[in-house]
Amino acid sequence: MYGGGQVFEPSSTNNDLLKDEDPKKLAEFEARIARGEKIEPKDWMPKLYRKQLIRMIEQHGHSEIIGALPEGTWITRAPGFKRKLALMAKVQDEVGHAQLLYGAAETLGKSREQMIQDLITGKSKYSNIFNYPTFTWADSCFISWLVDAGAIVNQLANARGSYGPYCRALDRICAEESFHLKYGHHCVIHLATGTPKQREMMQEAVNRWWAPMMHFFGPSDKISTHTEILTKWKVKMATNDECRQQFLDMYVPKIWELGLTIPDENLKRNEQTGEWEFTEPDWEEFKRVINGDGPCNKERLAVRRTAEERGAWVRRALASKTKGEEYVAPMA
Amino acid sequence: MSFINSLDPRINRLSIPSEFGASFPEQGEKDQFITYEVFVQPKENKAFQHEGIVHAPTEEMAFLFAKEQFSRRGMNCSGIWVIKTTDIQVSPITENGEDIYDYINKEIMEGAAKGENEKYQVFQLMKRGKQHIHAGELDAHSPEEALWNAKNKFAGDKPAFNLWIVKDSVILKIEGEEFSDIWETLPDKKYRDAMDYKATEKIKKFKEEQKA
Repeated sequence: MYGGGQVFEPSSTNNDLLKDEDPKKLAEFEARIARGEKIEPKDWMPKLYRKQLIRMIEQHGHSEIIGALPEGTWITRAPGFKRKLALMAKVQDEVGHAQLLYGAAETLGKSREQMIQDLITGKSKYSNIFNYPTFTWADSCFISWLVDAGAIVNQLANARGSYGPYCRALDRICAEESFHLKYGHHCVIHLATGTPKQREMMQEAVNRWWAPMMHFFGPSDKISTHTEILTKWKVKMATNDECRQQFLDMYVPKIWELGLTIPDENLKRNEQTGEWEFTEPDWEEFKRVINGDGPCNKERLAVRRTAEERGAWVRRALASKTKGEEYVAPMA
Repeated sequence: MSFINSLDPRINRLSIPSEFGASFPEQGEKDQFITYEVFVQPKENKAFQHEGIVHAPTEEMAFLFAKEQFSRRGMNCSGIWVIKTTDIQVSPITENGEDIYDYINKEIMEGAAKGENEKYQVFQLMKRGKQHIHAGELDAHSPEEALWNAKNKFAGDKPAFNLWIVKDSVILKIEGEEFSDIWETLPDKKYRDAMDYKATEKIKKFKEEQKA
C-alpha cells in the first residue's frame, strides 16, 4: 500500500544538484530513458535521480510497514477464522513488500538500517493515511479495499517508471495486491449487504475515511510543485490529480452500487469533461498530519521503535554468526 | 510513567512509554546483516531466475527468509538457490544492445590465476529491465576461465548484456525431490489468492432486492 503526495524539495536545490553533471553522460542517460530502457544500479545516473528515487522508494517501503499496523490491529478480532487467515496473509504481504522495496532502494546506496533509523527518528515520511485509527472492523475493510485500490493506481503508474529494480519489485507487489483488493471488496460487500447494524458500521467507516482517502494521492497539481525533470526521467509517472481522478472513476460507482453514500455532496462526474468534481480536500489538515500532528503519528512510530529496540538482542545474537562479513549493496 | 494508549489491545499489553528519550542508537551500533541474492525456479525443469535479496546472518536463515518472501503463493516455486551477494562475480553491463560475449577474449582467461577445476553457474541478462536468468553450468579453473567457457557454451544469436558467474560450491540449493515437501502445501493456500473472493452474485442479489 502506498500513497502519493511525496514532498519534493524546492527546485532551487534540484538545480544545484544538476548543474555539476557531465552534460554528455546526462544526455546519454536521458536518451536511454526516452528509448524506454530501464536504468540499472551500475549504470551512470544523475545525483538528483538517485536522491529522488531513494526518497520515493524508501517512503514507499515505510508506508508498507506502517500500513500493516492499523490493519494488523484487527487480526486478533477478525470475524471468523477465514477472515483471520486472510488478514494475516495480507499483513504478511505488506511487510514483505517493504522488504522488496528496501532492497530496491539499497541498490541505490542507502542501507536498510539507515532507512529504518530515518523512519524511527521521523526524518523519513510514510503515507499519511496510516496516521488515522481503525476504530472498527469496517475501518480495516475500508483500508483493505479502497486504500489498497488507491495504492494500486499509484503502483501501476510507477511500475512503468525507469528504475529497473523498483519496477521489478512493483510487478511482484501489484500481483499480490490483486488479492488484497478482492479480499477487501469481499469484506465490504459482506458488511454493506448485511444486517442494518453491519451496514451502519460500514457507512460510518466510509464517512471517517473519505477525507484521508482524498488526501492519499497528495496535494492538487494546482498547489504542488511541478517537477518536470522527474517526469522526463520517469521517476514520477502520473500527477496526483491524474491518480485521484482514476481512482474516483474506478471506485466511486462500486461504492455507490452497494448503497453506501460518500460524505461529499459536491462529488459528481462531469459528463462533459469526464472529470470528477468534488469539494477541495482540506490541505491544511493534510500538512498538519504529515508534520506529526495526526491522531496516530506518535503511536505508529513508538510501536515501530519498540519493535526495533526490543528485538535488538535477537539480531545481535544472530549477527554473531556472520563472522564479521561486510555488508555490500545488493545487485539488482 | 505514562504509556501509549491504543485501540489495539496488543499494543496496550506492550506498555510502550508515551515519551521516548531523544537518542536512538546510531546505525554503526546496530545490526546490518549482509545480503543474499535469491534465485527462484518457478516450475520443475524451468530455469532459475533472480528474484531479489534477503538480509540474513547465515545462508540457512537466508533460505528461510527467501521462502517466506518469494514463495508465499501457490504453484510458482519448485526450488530456491541462495547466494551471498559478495560471492557473485559480475561482468560489466553493455551499452546499445551490444553482446557482452563480444568483449570476452582469451587474454582475460590467460591473465587469470589458475585454481582448481571447479563447477561454475552462469546467469545472463537477456533483456534490460528484466531479471538475470540461469544459463547453465560449466567447469573452469578461475572465474575468468568460466567467462571464456561461457562464451563458447552460451553465446547465441540473441545478445546477453550482463553475466553473473558463481562457484557452484558456495550456492545453497533447496531443490529437487529431496525438498519437494516444502512446496507441497502451496496450492492449498487458496485464501491467499484473489480467485477465492468472488462476490458478483452477492452484489447482483443485493441490487435486485433494492429494486424490489
